[in-house]
This record gives sequence, C-alpha cells and structure tokens, in this order.
Amino acid sequence: MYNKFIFFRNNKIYYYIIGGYLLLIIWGGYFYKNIGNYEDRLKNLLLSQTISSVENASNNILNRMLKKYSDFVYENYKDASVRSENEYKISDLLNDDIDSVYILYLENKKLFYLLDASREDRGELGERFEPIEENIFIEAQTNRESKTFIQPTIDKLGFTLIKPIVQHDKTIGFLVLDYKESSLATLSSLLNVSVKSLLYAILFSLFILLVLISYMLHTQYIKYVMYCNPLTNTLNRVYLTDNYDKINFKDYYVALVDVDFFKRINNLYGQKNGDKVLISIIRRITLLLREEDIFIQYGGEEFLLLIPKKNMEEPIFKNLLEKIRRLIESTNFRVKNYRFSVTISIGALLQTELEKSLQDAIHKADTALYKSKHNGRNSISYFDLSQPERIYREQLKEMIESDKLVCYYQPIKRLKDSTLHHYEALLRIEDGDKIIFPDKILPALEDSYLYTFLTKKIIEYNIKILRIDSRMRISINLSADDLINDSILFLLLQNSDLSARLYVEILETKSIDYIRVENSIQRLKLLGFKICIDDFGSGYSNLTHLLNLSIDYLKIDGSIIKEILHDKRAYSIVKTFALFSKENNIEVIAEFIDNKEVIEVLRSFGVEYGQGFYFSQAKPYAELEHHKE
Amino acid sequence: MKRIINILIIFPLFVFAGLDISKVNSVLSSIKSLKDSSIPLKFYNTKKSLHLNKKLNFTSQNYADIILFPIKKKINKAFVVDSYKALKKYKNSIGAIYMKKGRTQIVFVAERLKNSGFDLREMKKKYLIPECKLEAICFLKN
Repeated sequence: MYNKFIFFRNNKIYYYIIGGYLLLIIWGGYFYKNIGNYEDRLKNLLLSQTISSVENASNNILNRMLKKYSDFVYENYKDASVRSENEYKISDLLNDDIDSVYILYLENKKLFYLLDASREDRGELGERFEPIEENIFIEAQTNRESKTFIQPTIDKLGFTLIKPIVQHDKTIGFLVLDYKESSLATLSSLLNVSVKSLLYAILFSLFILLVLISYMLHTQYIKYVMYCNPLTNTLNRVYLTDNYDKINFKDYYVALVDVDFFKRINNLYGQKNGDKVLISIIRRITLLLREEDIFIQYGGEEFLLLIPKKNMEEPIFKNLLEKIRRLIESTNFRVKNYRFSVTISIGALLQTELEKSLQDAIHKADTALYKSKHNGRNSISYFDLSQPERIYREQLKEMIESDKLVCYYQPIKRLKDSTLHHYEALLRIEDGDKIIFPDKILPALEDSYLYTFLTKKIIEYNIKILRIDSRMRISINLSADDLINDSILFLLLQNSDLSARLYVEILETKSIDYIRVENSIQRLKLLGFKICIDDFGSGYSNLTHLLNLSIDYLKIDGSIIKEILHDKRAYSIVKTFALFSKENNIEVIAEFIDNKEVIEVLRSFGVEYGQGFYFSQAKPYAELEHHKE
Repeated sequence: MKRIINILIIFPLFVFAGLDISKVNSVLSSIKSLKDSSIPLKFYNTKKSLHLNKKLNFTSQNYADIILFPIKKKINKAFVVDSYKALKKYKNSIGAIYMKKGRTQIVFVAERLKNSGFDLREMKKKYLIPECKLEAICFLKN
C-alpha cells in the first residue's frame, strides 16, 4: 500500500519503544533463566555480609592458636588443659545466631572432632564427623578458602561456615560454625525482599513499557482516525497540516488533481454515489503510485500528490501524471444503470526546490491547476515561473477560516420616494488594509468544495447581523448549485424565523437545473423567504422558467441599466421586462443607477426599486446610516 | 516424676529425628559375613519407630546376627548402639548410628566387626574406624 504505514514511518519513537520492549523481554528471559544463579550469588553475598564479623574474629583466634602450637592437632590431643583453653577461646565465637563452634582435624581424608565449644550436643575428641556436604569440605581444603552454605537438609540449622585451618602449608582441619535456623530466616526474608523487589521492578518496567506502547498505539490509532478518510483509506488534509514541517518538500514533485465537474455527479446521482465514484477514482490513481509516494485527499474531490524526485526524472513524472489523467479519462464509471466518464485536471510544480515552504509549492501547483481548469479541463498544466501572482485558493481558504470574510451592504431603495427597502450583502475579504473583491475570490473557488464553504460562511455572517439588528433586511446571493445543496438549504430552513428579512438572490448567469431549483425555491417560499433573480438579462434568461419559479423580485442586470439613456435596445428591454413583471406580479429592481435621469426613466416604466452609486456605494455594517442612528 | 517418665518415653523418639534412613539402610546392607558373604545377615531392630528398609533381613532377637540398638547391652551377639559414648563404653558393640549436630553419623569399629565375623563391603569402608581411635592415648602413640 502506498502510504498506509506513514504514521509509523514518521515516528521513530515507535521503533525505539518496540526495540526497548524486545530488549527488556530478552533481558527478562535471561534473568528468568538465570534467576537461580542470581539467587545463589545474592545468597552468598548476603551470607558473606552476615559472617564477615565472625570471620574476622575467627581469623584472629585461629592465628593466635596456630602461632602458639607448632603441631596444633597433636598438642590439643595430648593435653586436656590445652583443649579446654582452646575450646574456651573458640567459644567466644558463639552468639545468638551460632550454637555450635568446633574444630575438626583431617586424618586419611576423614574428619574427626578435635575441639568442640558448642552449647549442646558436643563431639568428643577423636569422634568421627561424617559431613553431609563432603564436597564443600574438599573444595575448602583444596582452595584453602572459607565456605559458607545453607543447610537445606538439616532441621534447626540455618547455614554453616567452614574455615580451613592451614599449618605448615597444609590443611590440617576446619573450624566449623553452625548458624541457627533463625539466622537463615532473616537472611531468607532479606533475599526474598531483594528478589521480589527486582522482580517487581522488572514487572513494573514491563507494565510501564506496555502502557507506553499502548499509549503510542492508541495515539497512532487516533492519528490514523484523524488523518485517514475512512471511505477512501487515504490521508486527509489534517495529516498535511500536522506534518508540514516534517515533509522535506524539496525532495518531492507536487501535483494537485481535481475531478472535473464533480459537483454535478453529486447533484445528479446523490452524494452516496458521488462518494463511490470518488473511491473508484482514488483506487485507480493509487494503483499507479509507488509505496514512497504520498497521496492526500486535499479537498472533497481534490487530491495532492507528493512524488519523491529520487529515481524519478521530470519526464517520468510528467508521464506518470499523463498516465493518471488517461486512466481516469478512459474509465467507464457506473452508478446504478448509468455509465459515464469522468475527467480530471492536474496542476503540478516541478521546481519545488525554489519554494520556501510546502504551502508555497502547493499554491503554485494550485495556480497550475487553475490554468488547466480554464484551458478546458481534462488537462495537465505545470507551473510556469514567469506566471503572475494571484490569490491562491488556499490563501482564500485561510482568510475565510480566520474570519477575514465580511459583507458590505448596498441599500436597495424605493424609487418613488428613495426610502430604504433592504440591503444587498456583497462579499469582501479584508486582508489587513487590502480589500479583496468577489471578482478575485469567486473564480478561484469556482467548482471547488470551497465554494459551498464560502456560501455557508456568508449566510452565517448575515444571520448573525439579522439576529442582532431587527431593522436589517438583507438579500444574499446564492448560485443555483447552492440552492440544491442540502447543507445550505438546511442552514436556511433552520433560520426560517428570519425569512421575512432575508431575501435570496439567485444568480442568473449560470445555467440552472430548473426542476431541482424549483423544488428548493418552493420550500423556501413556503417558509416565507422572498426570492429574487439576480442579473436578469445577462445570461440564459428563460421567461417560461421564470414564471414557473414564481419569484418575487427580478433584478435587471446592471450592464443593461447603464445603457438605458443611450441605447434604444436597452431602453426597450427594460421597459418590456418591467411590463412583463407587472403583468406577473413580480417587482423589479434596477442596479447600477448612477444618476437621477435613470431614476426618472425607470419610474416611468413602473420599476419599483433601485440600487447604485447614486444612492450609496456598499459599506460595512458599522458604517450604515441606519446603524449610526 | 511424670515429667521424667515422659522424657524417657519421648526422648528416644527424638534421638533418630532427622536420621538419613537411606544412608543407614545402605551401610547396614553392606555388612557382610566373613564366613560366607553371600548369606544375607539377619537383623533385629529394637527401635520400631525407625523404619528401616524391609529388604534388610529382619528377624527375632534369637535368630538375628546383629541387634540394632539393644536396651540391654549384656548380650552375646554383635550389636549396634545409638551413641558414640555407648560405642566407647560397650566393647562388644560393633558400631554406632546416631545424630550429632543434625548430621547422621555412622561408625563401625574395624576390629570389633572382624572379631564378630563381619566386615563392610569395599564401598562403605569409609565408615570404619580403628579401635585405637576410640582412645586418645592410642592416637598419641601412633
């Protein structure tokens, strides 16, 4: 899949955690396997800590005794008083933990008691001592090193310390100290605590790591949900917004792909079927992409392609885009029983290395896309570095989102007495000191998902004004496409309590699907909205449809009004429209009125309303006269 | 008085507490007759609480070759005592099996075994001590 695991690829920490977890598992396994050795080592360590003081004392005693007697075993054997004196000496080693202290001598590899200062159960001189742990004695004899070991089989005994006695460079016997079981209990509890602490630490580490991994996976999942369009399983725009800085855009070619007239597919076959077509298009495009290529659903029907330049020369990239275009063009899409073909327009930027940011690169690709659209669509354009600056669609979107969108209001007055009837809301974008007019905004957004977004913003803006100012009556301009858009219609219906003060002007310049539009108009009219046909006479004016739509106002296009004093044809057209409207109970609005003479002529035709610079130019809401009052 | 009786009854039970029975079985089964090593020896055990291996040939006191831990020591048969002190005291005892400092101790006096017509098999010779080992004087002379 071309970019299914992009989240993981872009998050090195994920690898670190997995690596860390594996290391911990390996170490845990090693620890588990060697826990026996570890315990033994720990035991010996604890034992050596426990016996260290006793060992020092026993060393001193033994050294003194061995210095005193040249043949330690013989002297003790021979003289009972010597034995008694020495037993007294070694009895110093007895304490609360040690019950038995005795010295064994070696004879023919056998052990016999020599001295015994034990509190009870003393061995007699020459009595055989049969050890359970014979090998430890042998080891101690060979290495001449003290040995400490736990007594697993002897009740009441905890552990034993064996100290070899070396005289004349020969191991002649052993000093043996038997520790009570109670001393081992302390040791065991220490050992237990130590091993348990270690185990808990490991388990805790594992737990923390698991929590961390779960958190990471959860985050990745959330990102997946956030970044992926579930319908198409492709990255969406949020991914791009979050990763602008992470993508080294200079290593990529940038291309924007837009489905031509996609809105019509949605309108004709419904949004569900539109989505199916979109998924089908995406599948086909991604078929031609490599794993390292990034495919982002940039807008509703607009896709962004980031194709790595590595191993892809410019001609190959151009060829890839052409392949994509042709593939879509040649595909027969099927919805229900209808078969149709779809085309795409592509705009691309090759010289991304000259750009300052990915956004700039996308803007340039967008400009190229715009060129493709205006060249008749179904084509590919590459950004030409000599192309003049223009407002990019993205810039507009950012401006709209950051509430730079405003409406200016031009009064529509009654011609008979010049009193205010209502205002027409006119779109503006205030970008600092600069004011951007609709002629710069609308063409850039035409046929894109942003157009609907813009319309909704305008409606919301005006609804807000109507809610705070009960004297305001506003007409807003909607396209025929807007009227058949469910979300826009829903927004209007939701605010139908304002219908008496909110007029809908339908732009006449676009060809209209009259049947669907009529249906929407009827619904709006039922709720009390007044409908006006804007710019009548400039486009595909159809009088029959006009009557069927049962509209309330007809606004004659300004280009005709402007010529009314000089052009007989304009004069007679306006006169005819006015007469036609009167006959059909439609009120007429004339725009572009810039002098009193025009008003006189229009009055003589029976035109009811007018707007234009003669009355007032469009102003922000705060500057409106009635507002100032 | 009652306390003393209790001690007298219970104490013998503890004399062998913790005794390594398998070791005892192994050493006892390694005693052989000097006359005919193939004939298994018969034992009589007075300490019923000591569960020795039944493979050892147990019989009544009259027919036994070796008596284990007899109460009366004036008998004409070879016997094994339950302490080092008793081994030293009763010259007609051939060995001792007892506990000292929690460890099982098995000792057989080589000369006494021989005089009674017994010996230990080669593997168990390490349990043999010379008679002289029982006397310090003897050790010093050697």
